[in-house]
Amino acid sequence: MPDDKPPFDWDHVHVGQRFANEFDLTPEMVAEYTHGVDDQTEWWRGDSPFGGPVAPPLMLSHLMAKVSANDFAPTSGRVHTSSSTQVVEPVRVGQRIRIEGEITEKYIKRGRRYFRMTCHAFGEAGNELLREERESLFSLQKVEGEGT
Amino acid sequence: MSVDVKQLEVGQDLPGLTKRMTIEQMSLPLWSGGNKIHFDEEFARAQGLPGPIATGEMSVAYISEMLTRAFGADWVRGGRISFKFVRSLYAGDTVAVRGRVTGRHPTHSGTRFDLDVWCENQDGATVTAGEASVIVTA
Repeated sequence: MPDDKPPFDWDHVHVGQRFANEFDLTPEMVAEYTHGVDDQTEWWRGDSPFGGPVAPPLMLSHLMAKVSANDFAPTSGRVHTSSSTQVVEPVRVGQRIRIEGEITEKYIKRGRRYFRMTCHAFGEAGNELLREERESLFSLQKVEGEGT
Repeated sequence: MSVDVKQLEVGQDLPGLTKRMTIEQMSLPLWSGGNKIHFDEEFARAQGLPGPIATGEMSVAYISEMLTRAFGADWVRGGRISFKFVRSLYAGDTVAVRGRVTGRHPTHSGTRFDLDVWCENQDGATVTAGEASVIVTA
């Protein structure tokens, strides 16, 4: 069955567009995340001051990029450029996570196309875990004749 | 695990970390998210890059690990961070992870530490720069 979802690009993303995605935060995901950055902290896989394993506090920030995965075809080239992030609660491993996001701005700067998005992550009890505002490039490639 | 915050003063550096970026780590599905710019040589070159770039969030994870070591549970339960990716990281790069206290303020719930945080590559160039804050409740 062909995937008829649009690419995540300038033409298919608009301000006010909202996304949501849910996934189980598994020990295997945490292990892959920590392996990728050589983080051997015991709290992420064993005992912690929070009564069991918790995720590295900015892991959900990285997973915010998946918030639009249900709405668009896989699209390469997007580049995260900056963020402002607040950890609200420790993130217990093994729970269902819901991420919500909204496009708040779309603009061209120095010939490149950017978007801004606000995101929130919630635990399975509906408790907020992390909030973030992030700016990304749709692509590194410049748009001829646009921007300054 | 935590630094003795009673001795942490404005201008003081946190214990830093050194990391080495590998293409194997950059290519992990959870990290690349399937975005070819992080693992596909040909695609990266078509974007005008010399090769695949690591997702900048890997450098922020390094910074978070440094803050966890310094501030322990207080960072994990309520830290704040703003950051900007200044330069790209490539496979084979060595990354120095740094933090410096810029402010120390009493609050109703503890002492808030403000910090400059950043990562440098092996040439001493800043690749990620930001500001973090942690309220130490102990």
